[in-house]
Amino acid sequence: MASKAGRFRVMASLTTCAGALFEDQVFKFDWSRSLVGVPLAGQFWDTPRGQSNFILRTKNRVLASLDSDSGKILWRHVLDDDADELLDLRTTPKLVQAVSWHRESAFLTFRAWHPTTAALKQETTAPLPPGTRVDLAFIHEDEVNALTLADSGSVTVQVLNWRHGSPVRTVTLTSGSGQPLRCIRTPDVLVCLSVSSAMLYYTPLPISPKAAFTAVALDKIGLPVGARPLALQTVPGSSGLAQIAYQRQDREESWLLKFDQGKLKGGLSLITGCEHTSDILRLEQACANAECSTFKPSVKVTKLRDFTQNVHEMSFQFSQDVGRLVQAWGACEEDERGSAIFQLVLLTSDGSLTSLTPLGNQMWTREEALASIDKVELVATGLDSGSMEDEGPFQNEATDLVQQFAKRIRHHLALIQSTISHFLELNDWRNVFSGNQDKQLDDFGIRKVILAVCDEGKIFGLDNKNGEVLWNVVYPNVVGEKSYLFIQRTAMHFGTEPMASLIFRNRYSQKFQLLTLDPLSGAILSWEDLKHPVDQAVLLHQHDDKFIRPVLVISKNQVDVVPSSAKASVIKYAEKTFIATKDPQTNDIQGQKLLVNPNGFLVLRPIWSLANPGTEVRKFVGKSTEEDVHSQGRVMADRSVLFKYVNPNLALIISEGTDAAGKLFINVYLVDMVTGRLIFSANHKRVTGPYHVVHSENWAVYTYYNEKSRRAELTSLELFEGNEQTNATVFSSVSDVISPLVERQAFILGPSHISALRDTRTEKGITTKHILMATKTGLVYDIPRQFLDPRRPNMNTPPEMREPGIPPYIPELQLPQEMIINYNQTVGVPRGIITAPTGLESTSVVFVYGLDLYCTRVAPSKGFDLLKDDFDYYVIASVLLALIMASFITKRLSQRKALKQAWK
Amino acid sequence: MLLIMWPVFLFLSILTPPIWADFEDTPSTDGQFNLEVEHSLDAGQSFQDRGLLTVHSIRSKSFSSDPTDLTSEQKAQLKTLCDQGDLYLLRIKATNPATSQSSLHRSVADPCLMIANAFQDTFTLHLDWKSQLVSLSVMPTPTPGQASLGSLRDHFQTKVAVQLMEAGPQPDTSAFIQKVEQEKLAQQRGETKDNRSFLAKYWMYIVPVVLMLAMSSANPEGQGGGR
Repeated sequence: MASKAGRFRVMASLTTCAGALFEDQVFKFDWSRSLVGVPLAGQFWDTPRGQSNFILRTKNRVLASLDSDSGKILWRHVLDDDADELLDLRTTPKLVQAVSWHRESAFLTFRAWHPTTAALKQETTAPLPPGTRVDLAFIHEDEVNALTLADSGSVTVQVLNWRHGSPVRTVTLTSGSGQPLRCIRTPDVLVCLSVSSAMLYYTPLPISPKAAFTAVALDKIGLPVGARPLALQTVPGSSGLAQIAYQRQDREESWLLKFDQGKLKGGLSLITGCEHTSDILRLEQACANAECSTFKPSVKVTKLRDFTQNVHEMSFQFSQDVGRLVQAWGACEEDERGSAIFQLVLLTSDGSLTSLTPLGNQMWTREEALASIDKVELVATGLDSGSMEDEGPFQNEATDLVQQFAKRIRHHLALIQSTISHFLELNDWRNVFSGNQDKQLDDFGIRKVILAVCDEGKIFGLDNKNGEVLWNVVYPNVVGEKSYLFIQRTAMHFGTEPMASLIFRNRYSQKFQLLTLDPLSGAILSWEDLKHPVDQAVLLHQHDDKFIRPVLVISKNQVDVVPSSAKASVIKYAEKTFIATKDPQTNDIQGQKLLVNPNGFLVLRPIWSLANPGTEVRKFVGKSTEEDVHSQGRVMADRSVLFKYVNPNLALIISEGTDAAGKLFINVYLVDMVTGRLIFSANHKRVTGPYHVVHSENWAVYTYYNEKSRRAELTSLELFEGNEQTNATVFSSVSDVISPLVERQAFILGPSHISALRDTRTEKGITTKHILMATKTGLVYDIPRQFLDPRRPNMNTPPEMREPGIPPYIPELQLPQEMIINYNQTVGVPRGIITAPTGLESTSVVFVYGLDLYCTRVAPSKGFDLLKDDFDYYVIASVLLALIMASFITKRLSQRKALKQAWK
Repeated sequence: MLLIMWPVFLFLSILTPPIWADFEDTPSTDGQFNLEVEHSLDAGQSFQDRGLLTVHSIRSKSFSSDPTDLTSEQKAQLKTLCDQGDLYLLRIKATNPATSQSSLHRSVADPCLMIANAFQDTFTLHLDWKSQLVSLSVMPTPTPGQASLGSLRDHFQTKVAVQLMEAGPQPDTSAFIQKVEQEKLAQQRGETKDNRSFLAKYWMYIVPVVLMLAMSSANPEGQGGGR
């Protein structure tokens, strides 16, 4: 600790620290970003005052209106229920109408909002017969058509009245295709595609009781030979167009179909209609190189009249990687002179929206892929002065003392150099004093790069200070499922760049791939195919001589090391490497030991097992390998010490099963991952998910929903060795024979739906832990650990018997408003929280993600190593200066007086 | 989603005298298990028969054991395992005679602790709330005195313990409601007793009096000093 003390350059000021924020502190330490998600459909809508809005529905069950001039969100509605699916959106001059389908309860909801105020004008529910499935629904005139696409290839259309939700008629259309169809609607035609037989079926709208499909073979309408149809898409804003996306020679192209008066009129060669006119905009994308590997397409936009007459032409080159063009929306106007006025909103496969003017200028962009973050890590920049890590015991053999010393000196020289150059480059000296410090200098390690991998195949590096996108990498082939993100090398090692690796399955080739990149700059270091399909991947604790923490990639019976150069260090520690795997068939958990077989290959040998008869593992949470536990025990009221049972190999498992009555129950286990010893097992009956677990130090906390009492509950477990400690210096799971005391207590939570749970992390674990809890309503609570302490005494315990700092037990957790760290900045649909320690022991960085993003810092034990925010430097400095001057003057005066006295 | 695994590092430390607490809960359901025990003396390359354990009843904790004798060679192998820092692995086939369902379980123990405790060990059966076998853990039974390899008995002396799954904690609302109601009743009766100390109760009267006294005694002195 002594070495760290030097880092705390500012003195503690504990006395006056406000728990809540002042109004001027909003966005001083935090930022938030509101998103809508990747759009599925959109429409332009002009306000009576002539402003243009862009109303859209998105993958994240959001209905929103954007200002089409600036791209700002004007209003946004998020469907509450996860099972609610937004199927159609229509704007009329006075209303925004939407149809949503509730998957579980089988009913359609028709809602209408005012387009500018977003006030709900109508809400009608139309229950359908139980067991019905609705795949597609759309509004046509005053009717809602709900389509069920059967496996046999037939389509059942239930037509309902928009106003009352009452059924009008049911029509079944048969196609004779043995496979389910893919259907869309254009304004007056329902078009279906059979992918396997390459046939197109259509029928005019409204669907009459005697309606039938008209069938057309795709090659008859001019689709190129050898093309494999993929999907059918609408052409937004057009009056009668649909397009077929097809694959030909590993490239996706699309073909346009034109319908007129309910009849197919032929095909053309991404096109969008121009709202308000009958013109269309043809977009042709071209890549900078033939393989399209840069994902920076250039777009040529041609405005066509009557499909042939070229009215306007412009081209636009994307300045960054965006993937390929997926969808476009256009709004046109004609001025007196007949020149083209239009606005174009482009959706690219990375989930970003770009708005263009007819001259090819970019009006605004939105990064909507950030609404669906899949994996996220906070990476330290390593720019703070004390960030060089000790090389640790693993390095002693590899590098000698002199080399290490030289390296340290070089590191400090580099820091001095960067500080000097930082001062030389400063144009405005006032910045230094006003706190607008340059990004490069971050003395306390608070600055992090948020490395976010999104479902859309885009990887972002965000600045945690203001949410600015530092870099992005487009990866359209990433699949969210079964991907792993690891930080293999941090920025703490001077002379080497940090390294993050992403293991994912390629969407097209189904092969597993490994992508390594520098999380600070976004530079791709390597991109390679993995030899075997990945069952599990795990980051090891120790690092090799290049400071890379190896990743073990486990396929069925094969263990590979990534990078392969780190194999030697894995073999060295194989004796002490234990891995728990889950059998996908039997649901058993097996403890495995890493072995090197005589051929030099790494293999796993099962050593223990945990059966889960009739249940399925839902959560499997170990402790963070980077965590420090500061204190070994707790002082009790009678001054004795209760020692913590700090087993770093402990994991908490929640497995879910169904009992005889068909109700869900969970089994909770605390298992030692080396020996498979069960430390604790408990069972909760009649509970359901979502389950969230925080496991740290000697305690664990988990939440679940109690179906019987209809409330969310939280159970807190804490493990103690007892009043004596068996071994204070090292812990060995193998020779561990302690049966720890398991303290437990359950609490009632106020909010009924918890969407994320996380503990705060600080560098040395001295600061008390807080639990961060995000609720579905978008609030993030910061709950002190003491509140969740299972040792909270009974209310009747006299005060002198109570342990200091632990409040008496009250079954319901009181969560006052001051505990909400995001004050009025509601985070839309939070899905996860991630925390990271900073160089300041008191402070922890928090990043909440979901539909919206929110990043802040928290100080669980208040800012004991920080000066107050409004600390008056000038007064202190001037008082100090005045005192020094006064002491000099009085010294001179007294000298003169002494001299005079001596002469007397 | 939950294919999580866990790298674990163990640090072999100095052996400490083991503490073993016997099981606390009495089983609510009866059950029978036949355990065919096999052990490996070469760190998992091969398994050898170690004997049979029969748990007649979980409720009455009755069990019988039929261990296979160890050869001196096997004892020496166990000693080698301990010296090399390897693990003593066990493979147990558990059969429930009532349902004739069997399951294979694996467990691990420290060979050094086995030797130190003269081949006396305890098998703990962890059952879930439906009395299904979840896992088996093998721990040495603590014995006083250090055993040497020569004085070891010829077979394992095994005890069986059963650990049942506990019911998870529930929020304790009844005590809280009771307490609140009691307070309400007491308030209605006006029985709220003030048990604060004398000073705590009347400090607002005492402080001004003390202050007045202090001021009146200090003032004349100051005036006197002035003259």
